[in-house]
Amino acid sequence: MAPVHTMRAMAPEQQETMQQEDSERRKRVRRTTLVVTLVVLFFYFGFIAMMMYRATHPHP
Amino acid sequence: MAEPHAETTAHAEHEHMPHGWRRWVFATNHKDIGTMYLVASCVMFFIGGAAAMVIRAQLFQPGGKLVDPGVFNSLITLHGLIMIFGAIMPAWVGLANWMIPLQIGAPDMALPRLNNLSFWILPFAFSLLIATLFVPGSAPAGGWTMYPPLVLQFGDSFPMLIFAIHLMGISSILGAINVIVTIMNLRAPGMTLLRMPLFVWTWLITAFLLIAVMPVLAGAVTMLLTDHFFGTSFFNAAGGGDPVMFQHIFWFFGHPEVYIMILPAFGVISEIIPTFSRKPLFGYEAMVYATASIAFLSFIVWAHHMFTVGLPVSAQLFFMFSTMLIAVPTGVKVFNWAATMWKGSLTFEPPMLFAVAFLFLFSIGGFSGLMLALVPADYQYHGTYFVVAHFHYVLVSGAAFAIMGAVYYWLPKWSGRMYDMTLAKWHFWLSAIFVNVLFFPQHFLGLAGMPRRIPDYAVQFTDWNMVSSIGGFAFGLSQLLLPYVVWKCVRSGKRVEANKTWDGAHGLEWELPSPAPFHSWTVPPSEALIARGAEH
Ligand code: HEM
Ligand SMILES: [Cu+2]
Repeated sequence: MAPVHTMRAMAPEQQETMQQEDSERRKRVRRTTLVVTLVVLFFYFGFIAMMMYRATHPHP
Repeated sequence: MAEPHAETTAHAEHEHMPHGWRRWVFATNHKDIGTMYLVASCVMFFIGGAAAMVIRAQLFQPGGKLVDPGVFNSLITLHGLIMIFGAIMPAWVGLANWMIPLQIGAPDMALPRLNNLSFWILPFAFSLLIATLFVPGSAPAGGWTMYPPLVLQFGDSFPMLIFAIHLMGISSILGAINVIVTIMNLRAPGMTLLRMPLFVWTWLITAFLLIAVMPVLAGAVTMLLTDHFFGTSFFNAAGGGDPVMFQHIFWFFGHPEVYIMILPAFGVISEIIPTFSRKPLFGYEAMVYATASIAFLSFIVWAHHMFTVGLPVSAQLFFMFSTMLIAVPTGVKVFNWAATMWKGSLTFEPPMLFAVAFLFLFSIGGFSGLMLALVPADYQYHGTYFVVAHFHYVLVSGAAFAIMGAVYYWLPKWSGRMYDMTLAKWHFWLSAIFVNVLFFPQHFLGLAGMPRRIPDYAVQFTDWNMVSSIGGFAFGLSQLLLPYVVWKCVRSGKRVEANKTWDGAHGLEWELPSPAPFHSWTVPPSEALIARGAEH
């Protein structure tokens, strides 16, 4: 997520590769965020589901 | 020597930063957000501390009449929640915000607006929590562990408690997501995983713990909420539910949570000790793997908090042995720190003083933990002041000392000024002495059978309670020095010119000017710089 003012210090051709890297990195950031968020939701609903299963299938 | 680098030469001139209240309310800069977290943590530390002072005053002698027993129980509950979720955790998130981008050569955190949100949730959460003291009926008074059925008996304050916990949980989860995404994606080219400073490593592992267990806490309190308001019976025996199940779920969260509070401390100690020993950290990779194994083991020990609820013997044995296993990676760490100091040229500036005190006092807490892990022994210790002594050694002289050490270590980098060393040393010595006066006698009280969480006690416990209270008042008062030292430093401390405040320091943060400019590493650091920083 290189901020805009980074670019100012660079030559145009450098800026171009920078922008490519930037969108690539943005994509990776988005993917990691998504995966981690799914893990969070999995744990939240997973534990509630486990409890509901246990409540409806009591131990002897 | 590395070539001169645009970023590392002073260039504070063209900083465009927002001004006035907007700078803080709409903050997206990791340094500003870090600062806000640290300030908020300090405020909560003193609010939680005020509760503790009332608690120690009430317990100064038997038959204390300072507060009524119900209020006492609420103060115990709020003290725990405020210190854990309001003081220790936000301090770590603040330090993560400040230091992770500086240490991995990133221009900011990966998700700056989310970062703003995770901070600003906190004032609402804690206002709500503290407001429970002022609603009709009682504030939550069942302890920070919120066990049903007791917790379900509080009136209007109950939904406020649950909502506050949800908010804190969301804030922590968002913070953890940000840390993970940042470390995974924003490391400067050349900053390989095994070159990362240990503070970054321990925080990465902590963030994974947070991701796994904060949702579990959220799930548990959601089920409390539905039990209370929507007629479910998750934990209600009358409806076929199981209150012990809450304890299992709570501690599945709760034990990793205590490691969430201590792993970043291990990171900080691993930064400070090499600096003031002027030697590389002994066994860098072993430290990383030890941290990871502690994190893994922390998921399979939770029932050591429940030895007395009537677990099957096989379960007691499993959890006893798994708990004792944690001593192995913890031992690796302590011995590595000691080996780092071995034959080093040691100096004892305030950060090092706190780090060395951490080594001794955290180990005392580790040993009492080991005693508690023995099932037959825990039958006697459980629910007594011995447990209180244990967790205050690991949390106050452990986690809190590490936080203070970190502040004294990095404050010159943050502010560009040096603090008053003499006052900081006073702060250290008063804290180190009185924390022991405060908590060591609680071991004796616990072994003699004094229960925790009670507003009054039998006369034979009087003497050590008096000693403990005196230690408490002195410890509490000494803590006022910390914000004073920081304030004085920021206002009028002597300017530090060098990038490196401490001659033995390593790492990318010390390649930046002091104070670290508002925008740092906008151009990633060079490989040479990274390699120099990573000479562990
Ligand atoms: C060295 C390894 C450790 C061991 C073997 C250990 C063991 C234990 C055991 C067995 C208990 C339950 C005692 C009882 O209720 O009867 C306990 C409680 C506790 N421990 Fe530890 N512990 C260790 C480290 C830590 C650390 C590092 C922290 C936090 C930074 C911590 C925080 C706590 C807290 C907060 C409680 C009390 C929870 C409560 O009931 O309110 N412990 N510990
Ligand atoms: Cu535990």
